[in-house]
Amino acid sequence: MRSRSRFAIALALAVGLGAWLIWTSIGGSLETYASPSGLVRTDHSTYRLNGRVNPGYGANPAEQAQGPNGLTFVVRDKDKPTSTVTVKYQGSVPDAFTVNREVVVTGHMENGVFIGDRGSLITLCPSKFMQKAADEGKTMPANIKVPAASTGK
Amino acid sequence: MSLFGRAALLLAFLAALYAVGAALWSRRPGQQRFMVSAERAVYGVAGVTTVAVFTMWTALVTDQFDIADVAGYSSRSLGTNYKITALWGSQAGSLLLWAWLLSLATALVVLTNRRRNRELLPVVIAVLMGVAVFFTSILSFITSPFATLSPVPLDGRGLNPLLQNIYMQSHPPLLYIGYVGLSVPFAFAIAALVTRRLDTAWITSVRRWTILSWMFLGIGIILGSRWAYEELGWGGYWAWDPVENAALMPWLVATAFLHSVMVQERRGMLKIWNMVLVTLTFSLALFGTFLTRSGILSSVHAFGESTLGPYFLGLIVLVLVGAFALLITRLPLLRSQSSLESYVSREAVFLYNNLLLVGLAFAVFWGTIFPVLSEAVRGDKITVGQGFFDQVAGPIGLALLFLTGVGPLIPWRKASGAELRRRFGLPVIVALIVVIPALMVSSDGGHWWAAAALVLAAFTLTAIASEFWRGMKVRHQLGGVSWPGAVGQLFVRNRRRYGGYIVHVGIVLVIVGIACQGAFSSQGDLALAKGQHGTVSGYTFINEGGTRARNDHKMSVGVALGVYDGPDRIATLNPGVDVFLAQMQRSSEVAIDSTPFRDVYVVLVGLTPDGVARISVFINPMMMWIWVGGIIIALGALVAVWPSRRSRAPASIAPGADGAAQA
Repeated sequence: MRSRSRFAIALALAVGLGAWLIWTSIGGSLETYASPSGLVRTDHSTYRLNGRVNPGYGANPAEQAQGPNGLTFVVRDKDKPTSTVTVKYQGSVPDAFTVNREVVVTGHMENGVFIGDRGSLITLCPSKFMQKAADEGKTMPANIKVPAASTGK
Repeated sequence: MSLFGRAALLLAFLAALYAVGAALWSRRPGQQRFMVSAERAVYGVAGVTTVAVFTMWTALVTDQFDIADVAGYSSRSLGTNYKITALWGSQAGSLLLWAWLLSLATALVVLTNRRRNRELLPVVIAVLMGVAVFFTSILSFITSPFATLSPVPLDGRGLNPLLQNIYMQSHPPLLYIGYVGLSVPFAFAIAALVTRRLDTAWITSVRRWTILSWMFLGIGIILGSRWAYEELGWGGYWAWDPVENAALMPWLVATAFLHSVMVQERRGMLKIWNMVLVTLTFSLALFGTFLTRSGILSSVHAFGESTLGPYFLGLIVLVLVGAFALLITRLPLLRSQSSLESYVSREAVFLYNNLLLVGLAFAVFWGTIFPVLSEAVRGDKITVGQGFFDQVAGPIGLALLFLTGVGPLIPWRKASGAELRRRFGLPVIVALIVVIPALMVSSDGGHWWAAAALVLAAFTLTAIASEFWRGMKVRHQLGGVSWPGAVGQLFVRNRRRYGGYIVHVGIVLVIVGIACQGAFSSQGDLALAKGQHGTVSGYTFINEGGTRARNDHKMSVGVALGVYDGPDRIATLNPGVDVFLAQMQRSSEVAIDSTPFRDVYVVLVGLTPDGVARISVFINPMMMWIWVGGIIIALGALVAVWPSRRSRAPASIAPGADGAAQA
């Protein structure tokens, strides 16, 4: 019996320790998932911005993102396409980054511009099971800007 | 062809439904003959799903673009090997693969249990075929892989270039083999509960299934990581994405189960816990599929927009409620036959290991579904960043590494102080020797946890080596066998135990690779004109000229880079970029120079018309050991399950020749 109670205490301590670890770890890593219309423009907290890429970011975004000024592009709301936000970003750009592609970028708002954390840009990979997006892709080639360097131009 | 495939799937659905009914009916007195019929129905399901899969493969290879999935995921210019793997590029195709593997697994279960487990088998068939009914009904009535298009396109859209990779060819089927395989232990557990045969027979019967499924799931995860590393061009391999987590969670719980069943076999303890673990493992395998089809979470892998989520959620609820309700009714039969005698014993270590593994799986689960919970409670979708997962997984991983070394050194029941001193002496001394160099290499960035991982790795590897040495010595001295013969005998006499140790070596190497890459990797960007050079982390890169090419399938650019470590030329790397014409999609061809100490990983970001190459360089220390560790884990698992002459004897009463317990 004494052994059982000692075991119960040890188990409770282990669970408590685990819960504390989860609690303290989660506290410092919370990011609000938001679309352009959901961003609080004066807020300095960390967001994971989600939306679709608008045309107009210029040729070879990967090269731009490595340059001193970084890549500037506009993300529009998936549900309210008129709601947009300008994003400034430096770091690696996924191959799948292109017009109309859904992206997620982590960062914060600064003077009405979303400043992406370095290397945080991800595109939703149209790898599987995404009939709707793939159908959109069917009409996309005319809009796609193939990076000049890649085409050998 | 579409009609043929649809008919095969409908037949599979009906046969699976019949198999469930016949198997359950055969449990009634005097109705045993229905069991034969149920078994034949199982073979029938395997046969017709095989026909459906080969019909789909034929359609893919012969460019039958009237079938929507062929038009959507293949094209005339796609290589035949990729046409074959395009089967699981679509949602319906991947479910077809699952249903096929499940039907083959069930047929194998029936085939291998013709003369044993006859009391369990009706329920086992009912459970497995019940799952098959679920999948074949979805394939027949909700999302058919044989749905047709009108008008028929002249060419298909092609397979996503990112999936045109050897790792992505093998990653999904291996994961699915793991998921499907884990349904077999679950089915046996339910059968044991239903029939009240709650001894260790069901565990012994599914031991190989569990280990192999765990192994395939693990290989699938590692190959997925390798794919991300080579194909996505970001220098990393794991991002705690919900889809990655979905595969990791069942693997973690299955790992806990593999250890806790040994406690039940050996001491008759943890019976309820094992039932819980096997149910959780199967539920988490389904949960992963639910995640990828429900669209409730945003992931790098955009699986959203599917309507299948509610069906999978329904199945998960059914599995959890059904299994736990059954478990509650059988609680009196699941009392432990013995109790924990000491907190310093093999069974106690397994218990700690189980708590850590399940705790880690819970933390990953919590972090994964946190956005859904926060949206439901607060209205805001709050996600947890990678930092959360790293902070939780780091300490738990270190503790698990420690227990991996400690477990084999501690005997069952209880250990005396003298015995512990004798067994722990050498591993502790080696670990202490490693402390100073480990602290020196990790002092730069204050990566204490990387130092801890290296020290614990040294401790654990020495502990495993000393176990091998001890076993060999006993056989050499008492059995009079030569030293090489003694090594061979270790594996012949106790494959499960020593195969397990090999797995542990693999796990240690994987953790060392993860810790070193996480702590010591570095990155830099360079823009180099032809003949120019630049340096990243002590490595010098010289642009030796670009290349451009084009064929019907893709356009390619590349650059040749001479790589120098000081004055020594160590490699020529050729990173490139392909643009696939069917989708007009860019795909980076990463170049990697890999040695046991570091990877030099180069991505070509762009090549200007005047030959300036813009590259990203990542120096990733010890990366190779993650992949080598994966191979060793697979080898160890194969050793553990390899049939031996003594395999007919119950494993629980077959200790090794040195009298030590099985591990």
